[in-house]
Amino acid sequence: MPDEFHVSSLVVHCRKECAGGIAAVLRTMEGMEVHGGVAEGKLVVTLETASEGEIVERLNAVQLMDGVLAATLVFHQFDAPDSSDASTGSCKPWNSRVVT
Amino acid sequence: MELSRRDLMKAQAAAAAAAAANVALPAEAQNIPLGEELRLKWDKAPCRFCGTGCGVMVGVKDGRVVATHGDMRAEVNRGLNCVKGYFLSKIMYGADRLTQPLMRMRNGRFDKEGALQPVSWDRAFDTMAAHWKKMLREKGPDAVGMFGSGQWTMFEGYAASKLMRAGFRSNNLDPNARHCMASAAVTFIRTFGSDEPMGCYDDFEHADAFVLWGSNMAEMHPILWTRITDRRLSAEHVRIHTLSTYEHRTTDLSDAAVIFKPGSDLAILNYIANHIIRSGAVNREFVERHVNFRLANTDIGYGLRPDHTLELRAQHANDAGVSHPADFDAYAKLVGEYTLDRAHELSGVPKPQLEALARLYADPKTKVMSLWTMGFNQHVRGVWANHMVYNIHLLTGKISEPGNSPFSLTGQPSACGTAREVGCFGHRLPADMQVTNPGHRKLVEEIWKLPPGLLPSKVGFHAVQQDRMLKDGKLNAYWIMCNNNLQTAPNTNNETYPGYRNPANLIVCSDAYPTVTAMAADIVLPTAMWVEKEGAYGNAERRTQFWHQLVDAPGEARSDLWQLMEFSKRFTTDEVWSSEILAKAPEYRGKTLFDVLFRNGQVDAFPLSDLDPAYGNHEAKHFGFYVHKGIWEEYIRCGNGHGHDYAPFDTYHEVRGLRWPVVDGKETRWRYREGYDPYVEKGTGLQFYGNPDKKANLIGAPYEPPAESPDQDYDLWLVTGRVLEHWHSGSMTLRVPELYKAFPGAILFMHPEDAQRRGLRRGQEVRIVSRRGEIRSRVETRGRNRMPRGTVFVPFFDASQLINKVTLDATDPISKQTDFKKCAVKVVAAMAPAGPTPASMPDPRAGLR
Repeated sequence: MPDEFHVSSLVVHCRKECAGGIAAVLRTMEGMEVHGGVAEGKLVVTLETASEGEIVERLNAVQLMDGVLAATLVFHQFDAPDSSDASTGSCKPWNSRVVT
Repeated sequence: MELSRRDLMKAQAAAAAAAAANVALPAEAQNIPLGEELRLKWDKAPCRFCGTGCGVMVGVKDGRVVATHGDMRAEVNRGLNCVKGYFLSKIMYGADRLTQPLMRMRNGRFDKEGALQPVSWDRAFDTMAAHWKKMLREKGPDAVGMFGSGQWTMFEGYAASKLMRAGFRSNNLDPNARHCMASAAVTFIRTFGSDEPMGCYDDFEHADAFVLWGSNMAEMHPILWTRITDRRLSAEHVRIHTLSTYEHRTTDLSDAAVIFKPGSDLAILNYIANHIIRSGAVNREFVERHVNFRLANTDIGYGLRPDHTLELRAQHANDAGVSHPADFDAYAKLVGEYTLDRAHELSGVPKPQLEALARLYADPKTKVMSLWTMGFNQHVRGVWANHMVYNIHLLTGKISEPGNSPFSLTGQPSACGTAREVGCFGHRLPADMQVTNPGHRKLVEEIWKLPPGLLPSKVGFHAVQQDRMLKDGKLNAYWIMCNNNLQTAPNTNNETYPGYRNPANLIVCSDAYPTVTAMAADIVLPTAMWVEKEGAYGNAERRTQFWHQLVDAPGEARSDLWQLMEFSKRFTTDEVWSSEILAKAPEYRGKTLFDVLFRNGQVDAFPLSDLDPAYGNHEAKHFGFYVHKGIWEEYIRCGNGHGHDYAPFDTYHEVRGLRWPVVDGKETRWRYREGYDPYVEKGTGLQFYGNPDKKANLIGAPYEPPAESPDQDYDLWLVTGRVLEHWHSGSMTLRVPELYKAFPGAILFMHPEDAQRRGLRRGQEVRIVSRRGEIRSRVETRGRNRMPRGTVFVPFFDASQLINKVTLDATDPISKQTDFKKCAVKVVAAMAPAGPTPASMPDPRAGLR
């Protein structure tokens, strides 16, 4: 479908000492934006692509970067000019981890 | 598209990721409106794929699943999803979905040599029932069998177990979990008298060190790997040691990557035990109070056919499972042979790496979580390997408490819940009970309201044995459900396929897609999958999770539960039970198996009015009662009160799963430990109450070599396994375009020097040849897996490159689980024709490309 528009988000776990450098590289990648998490070594990243296939490609590229421990998808929404039926990711943020 | 809308979507996406990672974002990125107007109906379900048991939210619109995302409220994954789970919404909508029964026909009649043609359910079932009855009459219960699944719902596994054992009076029921979990399951029973881990995923946040024994968690259990990396990042002192026969994504990210020669993990484990003893690190008090020492029979063969030279030569091939009482000194003497030098020599691992690993286990202040899956389990000494890891945890007392945890991971979503807990193995009944135990059979007969003496005591054929018996014409009526065994069984072209095409046999396969197994069957039944039915799965940490039916199955596809129950209507007790049984219990005469198994006043106890009106339930509406609830309430009576307690049915539709035993509404996180486990008597601290003396069995065993090792003619080790993008044989993931494109076909991972020495270039087509058969593939010398010299890796998801034509059908002689990790092959350029091709199997991928 032309003009499809995908937004997804990832959590990128990386070695803390590498987090700043990795964030800088991610920022240069097309459609990628780093929103925070550098101090924690858990980068919160959004990705804008024209197709789902590109999400997988980009995810693979991130996973193979030096210092990246894991890159995990969290959220996906897509939109097209004539459609508004995508997942809205209705879940509420869940802020307290269940760690006891 | 308006820019503001893009920004809103992006802010939502970022907020969801931040919440999942527990990262605080700058103020401008927070407090954004999270929900647009809801247009989808969202419900919870566990993921359809691996044994991790991630919670997903499933979005339905107009009767179709259109979206999924990680469930923020699921404790397992906390909103995260791996790439397979991410595209979960697409697995049901492959273009070649089966929607009507098919049967091999010629001239309008069933004919094994005919082509598959659409037929009605009645016609398919009538043809099956006639053959089943004929075989039962002429050859008895041994001639009928079923190959089930760790992907069945618990309800389906339970119905199958009743139909096979109580209906047809045969224990020839085994799950595909035999190929994946049997070594772990068997060793749990041998060691602790109770299956499944004592710990749980909460251990990830408590351990100081993680040791991965042959597990590539970064690809195979990505979400649990995220929890490990999270722990590694949040505590400076935490270390990850990964043992493997080659380097992969997990070793990349580990603090130590320990690459050993195939099979030598046994020597490393015994060396660690030896180090613990020599360095005085044995927890004497723990060992004296909680541990029995035993030594295993040795020289136990390789589970090959009994006339194989290796079996004839083995001293204890026929009593491989036997062990003998011993004491600490005898065990210390056994492992005393595994010095640092010897372990280094056998494994090829540098000594400093071995010492660092041993110190980790020996240090009383370091809490260690050991993790393993197929590397240990698919091993001709898989039971021993499992024992050896428990041995080192038991010697040090590092067990059954937060962070100290030997933890067996699972590969299928309900290998634990269905195959193991419900009991779908040839030797098992529900709740750890055994078919050979008269007391267990009696209890189950009472709970199932069946005549005494009905349940058979003979252990049924295990997976590999089923294939051999089909080929030999001893097993003749065979139903394969929810698995793709022709692709996943070892030495499949010689030992599996011939049995499917044996003219004496009728092979039935229930599946959602035309897998290679379905295409080789005589009757193919279209199956409803995942959220097209109500279900229950049990994951690797003893967590039981339910879901509702959220959409309807396409066409005439029906759930395995419906198929099993409907088929049972075609038999009467007089046709399948012996006259002695019926003489003692005449009230059962003339009834159908459906009447005695499912209309028994228990399974049919709950009316349709108990259904939640917000959801469909095809089985309940068809049979006229709430089947799932009735099965659940009958099933849980098998385990409640002796360490396998579950909550009542309705609870599970409310919660994000509960870890059994669930006593007084409370789940159990660490079994056997006072304060966590209600079954442990007050003041005892710890009790391994699965065994009568409440102690664990530490069973010593030596290193023994694999069944087949490289030699002059076949000079390479072959290891098979998975890749991140595809789940098992790929029957679901290959139908997701994004996953197919990401990893479209199998490749041969090889060390560049091994390639060079054979004159092979990266990307070149090659033949991978063993003594059993061969396939063609392409060489990859870079990429995610980096092989040491002498070892190659091929994933098994690709039906057009059936690597299991090459593998060896050697099993662990105790667990009967195949070793898919060790056989000998050679790799040559595929320039010349490969020679005569063995009898060809169908290629289900033809339609995918």
